[in-house]
Amino acid sequence: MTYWPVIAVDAWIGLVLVSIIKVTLILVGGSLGMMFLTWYERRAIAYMQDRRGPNRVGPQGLLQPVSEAIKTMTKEDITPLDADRVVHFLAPVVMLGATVLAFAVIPWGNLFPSSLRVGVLFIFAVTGLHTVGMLMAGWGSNNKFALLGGMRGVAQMVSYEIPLLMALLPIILLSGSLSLTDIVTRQGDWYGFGWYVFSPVGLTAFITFFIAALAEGERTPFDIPEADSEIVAGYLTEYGGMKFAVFYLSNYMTNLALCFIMASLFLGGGNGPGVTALGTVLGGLLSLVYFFIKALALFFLMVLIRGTVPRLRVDQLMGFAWKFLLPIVLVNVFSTAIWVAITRWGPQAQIFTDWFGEPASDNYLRYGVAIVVTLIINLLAVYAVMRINRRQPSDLTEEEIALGLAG
Amino acid sequence: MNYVVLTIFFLLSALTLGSGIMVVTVKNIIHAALWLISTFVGVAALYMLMEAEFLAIVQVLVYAGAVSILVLFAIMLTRQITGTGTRQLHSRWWVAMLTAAALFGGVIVPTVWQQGSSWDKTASDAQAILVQQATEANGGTRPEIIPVAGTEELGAALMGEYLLPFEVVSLLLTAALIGAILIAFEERTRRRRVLTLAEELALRKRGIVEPHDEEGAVVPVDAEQAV
Amino acid sequence: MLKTEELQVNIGPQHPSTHGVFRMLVTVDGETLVDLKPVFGYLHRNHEQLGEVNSYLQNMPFTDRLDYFNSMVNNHAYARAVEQLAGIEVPERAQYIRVIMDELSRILNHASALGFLLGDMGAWQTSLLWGLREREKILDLFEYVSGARMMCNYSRFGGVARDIDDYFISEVKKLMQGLPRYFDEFERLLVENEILLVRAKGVGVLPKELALSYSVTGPLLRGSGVPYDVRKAEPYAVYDRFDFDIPVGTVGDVYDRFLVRVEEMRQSYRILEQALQQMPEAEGGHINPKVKQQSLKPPVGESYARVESPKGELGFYLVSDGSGSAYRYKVRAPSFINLSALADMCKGYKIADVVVILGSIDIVMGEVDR
Repeated sequence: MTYWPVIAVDAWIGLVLVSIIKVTLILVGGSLGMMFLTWYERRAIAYMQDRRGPNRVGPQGLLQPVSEAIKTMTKEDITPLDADRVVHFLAPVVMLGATVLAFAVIPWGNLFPSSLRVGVLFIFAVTGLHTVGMLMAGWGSNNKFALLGGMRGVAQMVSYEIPLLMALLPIILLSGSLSLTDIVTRQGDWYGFGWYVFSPVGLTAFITFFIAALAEGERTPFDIPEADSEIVAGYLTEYGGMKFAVFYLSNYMTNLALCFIMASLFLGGGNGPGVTALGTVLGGLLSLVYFFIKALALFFLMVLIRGTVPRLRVDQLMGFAWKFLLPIVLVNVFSTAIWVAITRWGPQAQIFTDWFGEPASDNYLRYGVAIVVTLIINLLAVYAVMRINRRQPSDLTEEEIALGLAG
Repeated sequence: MNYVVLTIFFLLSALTLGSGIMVVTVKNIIHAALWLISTFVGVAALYMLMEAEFLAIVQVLVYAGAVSILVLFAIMLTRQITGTGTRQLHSRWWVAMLTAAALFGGVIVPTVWQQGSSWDKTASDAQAILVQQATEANGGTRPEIIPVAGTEELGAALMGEYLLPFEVVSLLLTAALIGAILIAFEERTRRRRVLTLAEELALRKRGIVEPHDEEGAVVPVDAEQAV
Repeated sequence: MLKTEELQVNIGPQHPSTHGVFRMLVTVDGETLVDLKPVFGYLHRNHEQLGEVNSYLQNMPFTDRLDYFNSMVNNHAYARAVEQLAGIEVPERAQYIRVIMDELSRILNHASALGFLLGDMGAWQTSLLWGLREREKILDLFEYVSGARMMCNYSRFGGVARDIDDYFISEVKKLMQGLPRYFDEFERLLVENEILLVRAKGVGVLPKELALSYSVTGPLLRGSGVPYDVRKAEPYAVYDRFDFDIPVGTVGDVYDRFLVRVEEMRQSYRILEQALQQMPEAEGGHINPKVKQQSLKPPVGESYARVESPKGELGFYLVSDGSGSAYRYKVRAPSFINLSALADMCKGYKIADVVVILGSIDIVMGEVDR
């Protein structure tokens, strides 16, 4: 009894120290990851465009982001005369804060900074605060382009958050948990290949989530808030120097976070062959390798899309979210419920047991039936949505096209 | 309660209340909306302190991330955005204050009256019940973390005990949504529309020379036929 | 009547997608464009007045600076105007050289114009850089033959400044081996691209009648479905000896202009093939040796000569009073006249379409402001 305060203090210090170390690691890791991503994107896109990309500073130009960080830090910090100084200053802070908060629960391989029971929701709650930063930047700059960009950005983020979260629901249904830790561990079956993307519902969820994530991370073809050919730089127009760099940092860290999340939710995180067999330390390292390969592959896909396609228009963007993505993700939630019922329901539905046998992880009949049924439902949904959304060009007369009814 | 926790609690309460006061006192309406976001985040942090993670996150997701943005959007779309703020307190502010105070009193006084003396006891009783439930769920041993009204309980409550209110609320929201769409649709047909070159030409070919209304704005053909 | 607040936005003069120092004073209602007022003159260099002070030959390098993408075509048009004024014969070989340069210019111009158009749509420079890659190869050829990449100053009265040699021809043939691959690649990447379709189809429609009454020319007019091309309508140089088609659009939207440009590159390729085949049999040298270039004094009179520049009909009007410099010098710049349709074409579309429509017109401010 006399000793407990000492122990408590010790535990306190330990807790604080561990937290500080974790926070430092997240911040350093996130920033380094962002730096690497900018270099990676520029090199990759340069090769798509018959260029070399940055290759002078450091080996293979790897230190280019460092030199650019120094450049932006030493630049003059400009605030427009009529801008709302406080709001203008706080906007990048809010943006970066929201991104860094999300990193608190995002796993790195099989290593988890903190295990929140509702981790998945937490990520999207805090990244949702990006909209606040965007609106603050757009309004606080006292610039029409900035305001237009801010409004566009917010409208886009709010619209795409719905399909984004809806696309997530199947994963939550499949894993039965909102915790990223659980979701990742549950994908470790079948020699580390029990990834959710390998089921029809998971695949649909992954594709829709990826598209919505492109919009959420303001990547081409959804980079409308900062469409440089239309509204200069959107809400970033009046930002320069360090503040601009902070926006940039936040943007790329968001993309990094989205890649990590997608890798964790759909591609099994750090799971892969040999992770469990190698034990905690070696297996952990291997999981980190697997994880980064997956995340970088996803990011490469984003870069590939950026290097290929033009940008959508604002109304087309909204239409795509509401008329195309949303119905598909809704149907996908439904077919996920069917998947869960067919693969897991034992006593709840005796009829399934009678037909397909007891639910078990090696009852392949149940899985086969589930795959066929959900695949059919999802394909039908995609087909129907495409049919409804796209009238064949031949259905339109020339005059109708001229009247702008085609778009 | 731990002193550290108490300190944090008071800091968060000060943040929440302070920004709440700022919401109603600042002159710039956008600033007021931004302070509102800060209030919401403060409330979320208070939930977090009470270990109601799910509630805290939903608070951020719904209120700080969505509702406040809608408020900001509505302000920006309906007001002159670039103008300076207007005065927020109107002449009968004290009526509003009295009403607010009366409502707050109406909630807090009976609670304190009834539970004030046995507050700590109630809290410890509730804790005991929770611990017992968690122990039972864990198969007899006391689990390390005692879950407080987690996602599962909330989900079960919404889908079980409170199914009817839940459905009523969702029906209400659907009705509101349909109403909003209807209003938007009606106004879309009456809305001023700028014709493109091709549309103008097509209209001229059909013999409709100047489809303007009395205010000089262009109206689409369909609306004309409807009238 | 529901009314929303209108917002006036200046796009330009310093703006990434105005293709130079061009300003559009845009009034938007939400995202829809209500009114557009083009403002130009930022690049005014007194070109036409200078043309009345310079001697005829002195003015040749100034024409480079009009449409600085296609200085070869500008030189050609100006030389033709002076030749018509002074009654100068042009040897056949020189005509072939000019045609080769013109068609190379057209490929160069369309490749980069399509790239810029896609850039305006927000494609992150890939198509632009692919276009610029082909452009670089052609510019290297121009540099080899004229000494300058962009400001070629290549035509002379009665011919061209320097003859082309076997090395040049072999290089052109080498280039032409690679071109079809580029066309195919470009078409595969973009022509059926879903996003390009929704961004370009039905956008910026310029109906046939209005296109004619605006007197727009070039791909803009052909995109609207009028098969008008100076190379066919009034064949100059040796264009009547080649077999080529004029691509036309049907609706007159951005997508049609896009397709017309893509097809025109292929047609230019056809012309190049035929020109290279026929050239060895052409008579005469690269220039008419009897012409006094420096001290040319055409007889009193006037002349108007036009060529099909990649951007449209490029015309030069000259009045001579018998002295060493023109009495009146006027340029019919296709970019300027095509630009006059912009304001009406953009009305009613979204603000994001404006830059795309502007990009589809394909203007060069050097030519607009002169």
